[in-house]
Amino acid sequence: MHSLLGKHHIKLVFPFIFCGLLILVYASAAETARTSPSYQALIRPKIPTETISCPNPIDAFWKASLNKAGIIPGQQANKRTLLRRLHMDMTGLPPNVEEVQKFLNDNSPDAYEKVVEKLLASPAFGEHWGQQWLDLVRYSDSEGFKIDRIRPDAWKFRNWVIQSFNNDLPYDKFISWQIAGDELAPDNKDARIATGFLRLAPEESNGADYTQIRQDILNDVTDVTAQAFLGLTLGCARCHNHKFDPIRQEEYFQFQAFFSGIIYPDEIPLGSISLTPRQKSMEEKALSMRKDLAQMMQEHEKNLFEEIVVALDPQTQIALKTPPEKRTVTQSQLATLASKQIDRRKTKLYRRLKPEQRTIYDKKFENLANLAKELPIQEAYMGVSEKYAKAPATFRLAQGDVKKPKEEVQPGFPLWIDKEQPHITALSKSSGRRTALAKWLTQPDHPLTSRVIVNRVWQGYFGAGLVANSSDFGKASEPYHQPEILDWLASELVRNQYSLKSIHRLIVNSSPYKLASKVTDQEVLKKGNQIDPENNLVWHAEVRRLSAEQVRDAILHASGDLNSGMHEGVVRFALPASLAKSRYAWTKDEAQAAAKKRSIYLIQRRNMPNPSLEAFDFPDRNLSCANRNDTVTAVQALALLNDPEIFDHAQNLAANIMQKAGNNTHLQIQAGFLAILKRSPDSKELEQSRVFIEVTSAAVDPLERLADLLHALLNTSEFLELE
Amino acid sequence: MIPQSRRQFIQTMGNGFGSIALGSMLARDAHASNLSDDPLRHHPSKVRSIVWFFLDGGPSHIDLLDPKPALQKLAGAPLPPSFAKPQTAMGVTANTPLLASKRTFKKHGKSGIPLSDWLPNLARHADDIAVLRSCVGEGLTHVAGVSHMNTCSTLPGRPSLGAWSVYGLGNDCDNLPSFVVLSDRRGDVPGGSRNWGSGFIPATYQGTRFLEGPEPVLFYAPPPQVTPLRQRRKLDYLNWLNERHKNQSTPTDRLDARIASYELAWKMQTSIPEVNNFSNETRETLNLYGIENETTKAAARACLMARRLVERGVRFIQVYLGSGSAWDAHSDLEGNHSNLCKETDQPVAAFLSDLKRRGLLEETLVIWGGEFGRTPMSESGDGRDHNPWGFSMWFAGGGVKAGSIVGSTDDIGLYAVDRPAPIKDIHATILRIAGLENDLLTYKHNGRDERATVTDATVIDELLA
Repeated sequence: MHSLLGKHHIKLVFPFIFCGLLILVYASAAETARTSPSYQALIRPKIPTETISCPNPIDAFWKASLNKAGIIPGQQANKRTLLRRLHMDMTGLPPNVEEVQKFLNDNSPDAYEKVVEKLLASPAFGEHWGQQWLDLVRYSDSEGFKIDRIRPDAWKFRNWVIQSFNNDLPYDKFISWQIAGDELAPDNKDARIATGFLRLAPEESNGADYTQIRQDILNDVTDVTAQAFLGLTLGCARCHNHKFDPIRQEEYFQFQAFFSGIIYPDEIPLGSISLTPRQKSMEEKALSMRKDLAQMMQEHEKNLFEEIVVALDPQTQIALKTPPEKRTVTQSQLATLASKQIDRRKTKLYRRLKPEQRTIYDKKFENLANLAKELPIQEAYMGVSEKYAKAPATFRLAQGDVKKPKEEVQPGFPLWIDKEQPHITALSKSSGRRTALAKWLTQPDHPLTSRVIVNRVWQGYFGAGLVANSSDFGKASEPYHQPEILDWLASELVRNQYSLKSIHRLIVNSSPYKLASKVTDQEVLKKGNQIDPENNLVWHAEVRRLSAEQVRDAILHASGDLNSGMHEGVVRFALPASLAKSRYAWTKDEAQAAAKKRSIYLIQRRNMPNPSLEAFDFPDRNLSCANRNDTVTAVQALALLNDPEIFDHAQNLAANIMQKAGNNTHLQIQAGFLAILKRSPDSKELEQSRVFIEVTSAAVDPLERLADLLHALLNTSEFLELE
Repeated sequence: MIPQSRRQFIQTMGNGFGSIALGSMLARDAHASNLSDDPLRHHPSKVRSIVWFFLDGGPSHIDLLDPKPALQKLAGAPLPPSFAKPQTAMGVTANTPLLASKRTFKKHGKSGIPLSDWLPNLARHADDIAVLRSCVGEGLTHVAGVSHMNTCSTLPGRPSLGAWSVYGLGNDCDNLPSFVVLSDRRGDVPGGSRNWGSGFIPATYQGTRFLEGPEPVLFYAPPPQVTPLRQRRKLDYLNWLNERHKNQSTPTDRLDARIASYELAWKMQTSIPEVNNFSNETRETLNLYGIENETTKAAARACLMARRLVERGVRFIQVYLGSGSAWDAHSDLEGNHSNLCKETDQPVAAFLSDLKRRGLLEETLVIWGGEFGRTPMSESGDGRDHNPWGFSMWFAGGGVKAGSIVGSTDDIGLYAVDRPAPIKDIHATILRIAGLENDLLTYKHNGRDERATVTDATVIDELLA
């Protein structure tokens, strides 16, 4: 045998050996991954009985796992710390002074539970928890790429997310609507708005190769659906079989096939409007006036079409030249995507009119505009629809390259999760594929759906999930810590008709949530650090920095400037002067009040990230973000110290305090600490603060001295960290 | 969390712009003792800073760095059938005639690198540069091309090479951001800040854009009514509160980091205007760059600023020349490029001369190039379309095999032929020159050990000294 593998054979043989090895590695990875805990059907674990004194089953599991590891948990946090943590974690806002006093004075056994119920019912709950979902689905008010067009109706999806969390919309419905609301409940406005999820991918409307762009959007939707709903890094399998998880490349495209029928129009009418007979005749008149205007542009439009179409990829060229009614589904998709560029450039055709034509055009346009004022406006939303019962074919793409299609694939679930294949019932104008996907995702015993979401809720309260990579439940994330808690919560979610609030309630009422961050017992500390230095089993609380939104919202709250309540549309806040000249800048809202809305309502433009939020780890809006980074940087210090808006909030608060406290330094300091840190200063702080105001501060005006003190308080670790 | 390695430790602490004293001091110590022993680097390297002149819009390699005599002969004829027809951005393909270059190329220096007469000042540095003539990109449009050149992906969201570099090399300067983005003027870089973003790696590593005007870094200074003394006293009071809180709480690095971050912020209040103020530069230096000449002024300012940042230890500096796709000569290539070359050739050459005489060139890696080149086929009669299939860049400074030409394009400059260099290979090479190994510089994201080049990349050995 040896002689056969002489030196000159090595080169030839090596690739075969290598491929063989790869297959072996893959097969064994697949084998072990199949036994991975998160891929097993969900079975409700038995609550441990050794710790009978636990009314909350989370405690029973938790204590059992600590006992097993030989760890004693640290002490519980004090009431003041706990209340701030609870408020911040549930609503993103701190408690006000009255709420703190009331809680400290309430010695009834259910004092804490009462607060939990109050916060669960607060509209601020959805404004805080909605943000986590928006991070996952890379929500943005613009499409990205060079033009970065604004998506004027995206906010309706944002508000729907907020309201869904507030109304405790069952999670199965919450995700089903996002995937297939248009098929499942076509008459329900909310369900249709929810399909905005499928439109959040960055989109290059000004591109050249729409075959590639269509594929990029499909890839993005496939990847984000897998990450957000299944906690799977399916994207790795786009170009090759997954290295850690048993995902074969064709399974990636089988999963993608569920989405292949989607068409992406810009604005879809929402509901119908009824016109009075007078309005009807006006509408007809307006229609003929529009035709008249179009007539004037006809020649130019034709030229424009020719100019644009020649630069596009061949398939898109054919699609655009095919009359709409004769287009295949793929052609409709390509034409819809490419038409956005044509439509955008049509708006600039006016320049091609001769001066005398412009006068005529202007007059006609004015007449139309006057008429239109009296007609009701058709509300629109951003979502998806399909057009045909048959969806276009999906192919496995070699190396994920759209130019290298291989065999055709049918919609299918990842095989190692479910061997059963989808039963798809086509509708008259929709493939029904996404309905099949939604039904599969929301099966009560689905191994991933409920585990993934309860883990995200856990992460929101502890900083890290029980599965730390909350969008990767695959092999790379093992071992899991306390999988019984995860499984029990997941089964509880299903048992409670997918009520997420029921999971929130269980978690915040559990003992691990109420732990203190500082462990005072040295023995406990030593042992805990020895056995579980990473705190994987949660034997003490972790200190976390406030999120970008929490920082801004807490400052608005402390200064009394917060304008609470939902906001329709986006808040166009004032950009710093040095950014205002950018092509991606916007004109700020006229209404000052809007600028004091909570951060979730601020405009999110992909090419102009909010500089203040970005400093505090607001994530890139092109990617799904499962858990934000938590950094401490000088940019944060600069933003908090020198942003004139924060300065203004400190000034406003100082003015309010001085109205009540006058020139009494003692009272001023007392009021400042209460407003910002929600506690009174101790004697040393009082003295140091008095010296600052009366002696060391270099501000001249008494109001500014107080404002500087308050501004400093807003910059403290105590304010910025959550214990 | 217990840091597993120094990189991870510094990562936990947050270096880069957000550097806290401890993190950056470690990097400085390493630098001071012995660069090649720097445990953050995988290979010995003298490079302290990377400066990338980004010619935004796609400069024409055929008219600048890659002479094509055959093109002169074929001019006016359509693309010969022996060439595959590419899909170009503006739809000019085989049907538009080939356009001759009106430039004359001469060989310069001992190395005899041919450069066009549009680059008379660079010509004096022919022996300092290595020209890579076989770059291959994937982005057909500006936004995709610029994104690809910066992040190895035409799609948004990945960390830029600058972010990876700072993540890998740590900080070498305790009063300035470690990744700075400059531009000569004009519009926004297509795609905006994501071209210097940190993607999924911490925000600490993202580039900081130095803006035009009185506030080069956002919020670096307090509102005008706040005097330095007033700010300092406020900070002293804040420090007292933060120290006291630290002593009463669970000891964590973060509380130290925050105290340090405010001190760094304070230092920047002086260091930013200091670096922005050129009054201590000699007249000779200012003239070298051409700062008082209307034509060269804007680029000169950016190039001189780049040198000042190099001196202060800023790790990664990107200078957009012609920002807002100025090099995008779809028509009137002659007018467009001759103006832009007049604006940028002198300042860029001055930068090289200035670094050299200060002994900084061997500690700096200099890169020059755009997101793509331009087609040999004409557009609108006298312009050229985007060409990502074969174009040129040049490199200079420490670790670069100066005076060499690497790779080639075909006879007309349409496709890379010899040693095609995909952008990921270029990135892997830049990292290697800076002492970092692409495969080892990873960041775990969504369960995958991500690296700068997304997938496997090959270092272009021919470029290495």
